[in-house]
Amino acid sequence: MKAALALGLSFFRISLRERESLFWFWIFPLLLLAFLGAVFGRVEKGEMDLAIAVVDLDRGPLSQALCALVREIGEGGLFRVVEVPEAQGNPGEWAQREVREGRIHAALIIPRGFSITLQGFPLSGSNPAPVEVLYRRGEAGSSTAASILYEAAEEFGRAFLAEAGLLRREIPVEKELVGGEERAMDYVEFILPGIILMALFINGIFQVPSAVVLAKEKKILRQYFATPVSGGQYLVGFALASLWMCVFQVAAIWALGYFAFGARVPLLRPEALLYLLLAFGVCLGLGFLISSFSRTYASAMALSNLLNIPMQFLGGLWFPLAFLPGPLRIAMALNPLTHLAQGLRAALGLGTPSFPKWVSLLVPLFWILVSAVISGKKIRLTEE
Amino acid sequence: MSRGHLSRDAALEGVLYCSVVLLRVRDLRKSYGPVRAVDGISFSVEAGTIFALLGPNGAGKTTTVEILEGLRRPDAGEIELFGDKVERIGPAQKARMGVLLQEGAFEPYLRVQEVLKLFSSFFPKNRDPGELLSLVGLSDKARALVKTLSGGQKKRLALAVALLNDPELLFLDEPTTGLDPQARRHVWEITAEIRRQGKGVFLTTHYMEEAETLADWVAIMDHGRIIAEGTPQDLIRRFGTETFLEFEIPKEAFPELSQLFPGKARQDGERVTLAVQNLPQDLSSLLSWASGKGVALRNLLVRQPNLEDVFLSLTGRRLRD
Repeated sequence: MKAALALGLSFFRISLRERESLFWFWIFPLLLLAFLGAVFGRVEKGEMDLAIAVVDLDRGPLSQALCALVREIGEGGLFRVVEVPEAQGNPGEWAQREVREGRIHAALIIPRGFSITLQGFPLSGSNPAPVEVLYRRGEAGSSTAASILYEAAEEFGRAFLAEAGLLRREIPVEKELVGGEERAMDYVEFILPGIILMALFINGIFQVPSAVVLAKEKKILRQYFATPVSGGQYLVGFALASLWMCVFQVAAIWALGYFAFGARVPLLRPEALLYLLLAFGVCLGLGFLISSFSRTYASAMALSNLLNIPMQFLGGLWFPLAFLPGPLRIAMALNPLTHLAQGLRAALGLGTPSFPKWVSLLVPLFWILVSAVISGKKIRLTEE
Repeated sequence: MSRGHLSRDAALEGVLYCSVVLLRVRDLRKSYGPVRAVDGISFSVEAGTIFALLGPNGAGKTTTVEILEGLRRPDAGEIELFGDKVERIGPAQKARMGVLLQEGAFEPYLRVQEVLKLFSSFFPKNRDPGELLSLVGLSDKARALVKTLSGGQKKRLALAVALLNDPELLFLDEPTTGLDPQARRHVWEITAEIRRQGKGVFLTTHYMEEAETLADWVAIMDHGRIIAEGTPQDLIRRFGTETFLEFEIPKEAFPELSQLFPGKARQDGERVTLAVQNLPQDLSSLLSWASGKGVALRNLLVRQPNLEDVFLSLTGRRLRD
């Protein structure tokens, strides 16, 4: 382990000194984030894959009209409505739990008696029970979804009052803050996970094979293997250095997003960390896989370039995958980047995945396993 | 010196080394497809001695060294290292060996002192890196990046790394190639000192003078086999039966000279080397021919055979061919 640690530390040092590696792995992702953040800044809500639920406890004519209004807004592509499971005994509690655990971004709760009190409102003047909007603390996607629901309820109220000729008065709508602060959707927050994945991906498919194959080609590896160091220790050292580089790089990207653009991306959430770890494993595995099939530096780079564009393009790092035509969706479903991007964004509250969570975890794990097995058999660090 | 006897230096130090065999190889074989790179060679390296393996390019020398350094697997044969029979050289053996590779390199973006620190983490025991840098004359380059070193400095760094674990057996594969004469002499001194300490050295070199100066035992390899071995003096005595006349003549005079001494004269530009069995008679014939033809013999000298001549007579090639 001492040798592997020393190797890891050396490789880490080298990555900070070697210009090409310094630019592509350390500087380029930061430049890209700075450029995209400066050019696009905050974006209009709408391109996010937001999930909301409408819980109608009243089931009266007016509550159903409000539900219909929300669905109508959702049909415009702003969000999708998640249906309350039929077997659900307490839909209110279900909605609370779903929002709290991040499966949906926000929920609208219409209380019992809403229609009756609202219908009597023009005569009695007494306020109906308040409509509740549930959302989550410190999360841009949840905050945006809540704002949409809030606006929808207010719009419904204004329409009802106008109909009743009482436009001066309004239906009370309470926006319930589960915690945190209210903020608008941020493009930098949306793009930041993509840039993190891109940085890990570049490290995996370019840095890893170029370092390993070049070290072999330039006879550096044989210098190590003439000592008691084994191929396994070398690879562990390399993986450690890559891990340290990735940790620093993710922190640097996050810090730039936070301090320069005010992006609040909660990367320390356990689920987000899990996806980052999976992303690291997939990218490192791909790097070792490319190294296994490349005899020379030139062939390694050719193979890396061959994989780079299609995998990023079909991985949803840069645009929603719903835009892809049918046949490409199969490739998309097999692409680990798809699941890593969607899983990470979902874990950060920036979207909901198109696949069940177990699929999003299983596909990257499968890639890690396949890469490890093939690389373990194929990779040749020595002349034999 | 014959095998099994005390080397002179070891005897002076009063230490019995030569009976300890550090490395013994029997019937070692290695093929690449139909090509037999190493074809059943056997030899041994004893403590307190320097063993030199000589051979032209393609003789199988590099394959042999790489098998012994643990970089390649043999197809067959027996290797006994530090008294233990081993199928393949593993970490336990490597921890007791030092290796200076002919074709090796260090990470170009590490500093010299970082390279030594990194490699010292691979071994259970180490010498002081500062002392080693001083030994190889690189103290002033301790903070320099490897990529800024000259070829000779890189070679000296490789020697420092090879000595890092205070090895019992040191492999030096072309240790002085690319070094200036002064640095070469310095490496010879270091190598001789290692022998004095009772350690074994396995040396390959292109420089015959190096082998003659340093080696206690020389094995000459060609086409995968050892074709002769012994002490340098013994080899010269056995295979260097001729005396050599060396001189310079105009190139156009050479064909006539070679008719006078068929198969005995070699030309290298204006320089001619003439192998003679009977020095007085052949020298007289040469002088008569030169006088009769009006050819000036410039820089004439008479020399005894050396290892280079032995090598040439055995392999038909010069070592650098």
